[in-house]
Amino acid sequence: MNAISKLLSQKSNIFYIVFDKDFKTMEFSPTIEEIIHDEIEKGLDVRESMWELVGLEEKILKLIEGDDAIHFPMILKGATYYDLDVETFFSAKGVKLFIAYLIKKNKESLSYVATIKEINKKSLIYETEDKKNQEEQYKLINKRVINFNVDMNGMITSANDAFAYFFDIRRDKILGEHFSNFFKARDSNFNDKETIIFNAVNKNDEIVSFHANIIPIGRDNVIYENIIICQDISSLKEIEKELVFAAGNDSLTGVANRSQLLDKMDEAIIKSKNLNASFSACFIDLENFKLVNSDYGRHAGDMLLKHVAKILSNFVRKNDMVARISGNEFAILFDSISDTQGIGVMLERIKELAIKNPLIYTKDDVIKFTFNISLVSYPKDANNAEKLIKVADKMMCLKKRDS
Amino acid sequence: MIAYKVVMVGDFGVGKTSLVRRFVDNSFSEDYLSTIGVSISKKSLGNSTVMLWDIEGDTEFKPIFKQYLLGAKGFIIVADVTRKNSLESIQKHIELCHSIVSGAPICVALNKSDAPHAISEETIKSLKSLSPSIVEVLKTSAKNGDAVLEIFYMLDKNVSQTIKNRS
Repeated sequence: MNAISKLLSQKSNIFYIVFDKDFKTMEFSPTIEEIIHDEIEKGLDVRESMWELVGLEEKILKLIEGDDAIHFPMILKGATYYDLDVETFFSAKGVKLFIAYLIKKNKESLSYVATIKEINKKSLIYETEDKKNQEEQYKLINKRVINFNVDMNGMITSANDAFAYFFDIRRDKILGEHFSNFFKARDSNFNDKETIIFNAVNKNDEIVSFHANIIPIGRDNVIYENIIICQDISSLKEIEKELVFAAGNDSLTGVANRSQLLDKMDEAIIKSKNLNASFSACFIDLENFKLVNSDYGRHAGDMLLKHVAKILSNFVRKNDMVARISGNEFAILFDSISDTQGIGVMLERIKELAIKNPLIYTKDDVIKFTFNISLVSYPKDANNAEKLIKVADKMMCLKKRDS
Repeated sequence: MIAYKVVMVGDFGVGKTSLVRRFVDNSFSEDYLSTIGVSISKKSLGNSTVMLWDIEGDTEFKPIFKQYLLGAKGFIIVADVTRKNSLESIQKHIELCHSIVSGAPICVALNKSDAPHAISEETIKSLKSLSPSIVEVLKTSAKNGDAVLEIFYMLDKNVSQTIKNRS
């Protein structure tokens, strides 16, 4: 046994100390001072050099009775990590002795130690900073979210910093005021409501919309106050505007779509009826558009449609409307032009627009295009918007057939 | 002369190593170097020698290795007054200590008391009532040394007396 242990300690990172049941040191590895720095000597109490064994006496003596070996992993001494195992064995004289193995940890274990240390360090920073961060975040949120308390008559009883900041007013000027002096709502009484929409003018004279949650507070089923928490919903208003725009406009070119054109034509019809007047609209077919798509690709086709929408929009007057009513068809609703001469001049100029403004798709690809135009007038050609478009379509088809 | 083992128990980063360093070498470092495994220190206190097992703290993903607690005559459970989680873990640590050494005396060190905190006398009282084995609950600071010697001597007195009574 001793020979094997000696061999082990010479060949590897395993060291040993042998001791008897009185804890007297019997033998140890010749190189054990690599780990044990205290005085170690045969005959001395093993616990003088192996502090790890203090307190374990009972457990160690039980090893003689067949208890499992004692194992302590990752003991740090100086800069060295080792595992400690205590076992029993029979000496050559047949006496049961104890052997403590000290197994020095390899480089991989040390790299594991470094990793765990780093993780623990970060975890500690995270845990200790977390509370601080929460307070900071609360402050930031509080700056953005206005909240205030009102009594059952709507008088403000408390307000947060965000309230004062939003209106650029001292807090003592807020307390005791009726909330409607600051926030406008359709209904100035919000008892029994859970939410309400407010509008308010901020310190920069901008109108801001708020969605407010109303939280009643009370005691013994009697509500005596409400907490109002206001969240800025200006961005929702922007989204609403975008949705309204998308409903009435062509997504590719941005000009009005067929639906908006029909609405506008209906309005023009009513106006004309009331004034006993007339109006005209021209319908523009982008000729040979399919060829552009097949020769240059769909992207070029899209670019051409955008280009046409742009030059038509730049050409018309402020109150005229340019619309894209289908794939390659546009329309212009002229406001208050009905005389034949004026319209004739206008149509010629529109045709010239196409000739003068080819699409410069790339340095080498200049896409030329022409318009096929038909003109309809109310009430001469039809008495409602849909019929006017149908008449225009018919005219367009006839022109195409003739050409 | 008696020699016995005391184990420092607590969550990671509460200052177990710093308390041992302050007690054994009267030194302190602000740097946090997490203990992995166990580091054993020896300190003579009059008629006794204490082997202080400074073990790896309890973390979410690595619980305390119970074997380290074997043969201890007393425990110092350490918590950080600025970290609520570590205070809430005290009960769990008491149960762990007693699962290995039933009824062993325990001192609770509410460490980092030099930092702003909200530990009231009532909190200390309620901590004392967690177990009859709790000898003392003290607010300590390894940084400025407050109550460090006091807590180790308090435990020593109790453990030494128990050992003497048994012998």
